[in-house]
Amino acid sequence: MTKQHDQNKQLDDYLHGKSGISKLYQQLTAGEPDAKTDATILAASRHTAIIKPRILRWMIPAAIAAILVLGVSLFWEQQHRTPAPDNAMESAAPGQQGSFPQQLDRTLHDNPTADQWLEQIQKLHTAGKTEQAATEFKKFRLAYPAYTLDRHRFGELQQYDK
Amino acid sequence: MHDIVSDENLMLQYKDGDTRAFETLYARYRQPLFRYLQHQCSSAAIAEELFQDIWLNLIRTRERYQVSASFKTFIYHMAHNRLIDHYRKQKHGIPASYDEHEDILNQTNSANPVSAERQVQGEQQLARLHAAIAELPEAQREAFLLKENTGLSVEQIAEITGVNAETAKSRIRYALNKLRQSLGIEDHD
Repeated sequence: MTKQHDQNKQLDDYLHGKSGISKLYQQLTAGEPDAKTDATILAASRHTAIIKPRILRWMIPAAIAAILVLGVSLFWEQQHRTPAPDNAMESAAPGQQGSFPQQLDRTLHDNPTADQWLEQIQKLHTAGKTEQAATEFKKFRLAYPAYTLDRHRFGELQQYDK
Repeated sequence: MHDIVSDENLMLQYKDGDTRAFETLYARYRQPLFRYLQHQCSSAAIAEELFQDIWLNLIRTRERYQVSASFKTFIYHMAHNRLIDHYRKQKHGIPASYDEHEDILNQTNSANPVSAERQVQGEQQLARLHAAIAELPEAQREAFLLKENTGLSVEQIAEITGVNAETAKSRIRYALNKLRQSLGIEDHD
């Protein structure tokens, strides 16, 4: 019991830095790592540290910014380049794209506004191509079912509006 | 006033690519870590090899470093793991003294208390201490050396060596008793 108590006391003293063993140990000569080992370790620390982390430091925010800019611009472009009527036209009249008159401007075909489309139909009508004008007008109606024709500008096309 | 940058901040700076931060850390830990390994291993060449491996491993894995524990605990934990790895590759494997269930205190060899040489002085005594440390079972020796070279608490030593605090304390107690017996000294308040 006393021996156990003494050992615990000695351990407590030791853990609190009050021990002859510790004092003696600190006097023991300590070796040093070889100079070659120092050089190897320090060289490795420089070699691996220079390249990656320093690039990463600015690469991460730059990459995030680039993704955001790209995402926003793609979204913007998609919103402004794909009008609903075009989709409606394609889904309403599949397989008829090839019959669209070649003289119609390709850009206009991709993105016609209602008035531009009607002007092209009017030209076909004026040129006496009434069948083509009628076909185009049908497509126009599918795309713009509720569009009210301006009687002054497109009064002649009302005959196709059945 | 000059503020001393903490080990943890130095390691974070190094993680961000500051090699001078690493050099400062290396200067702080070079000697105590080497001393710990030198006294723990029987061969200076092995100590040198383990020392280099530990630092190179720290360099390789610096990206994963997080301040969840003190840097001191972190690096000595790496050292302990490398040591165990070294033992595992040896013919006899991990020393039995690392077994937590091994009641090492009951194995205390009461031989050579050296009562006739209680007054041994100077170099002779140091040489005896060196020899006595080398004769300690590996796990007890490691616990003692961690305490001496790091000043960490019993709990932190337990964390590094992967045992509970009571086991770590027992190992230190055993090491102390053995060293006292070998040197024939008593610690008094």
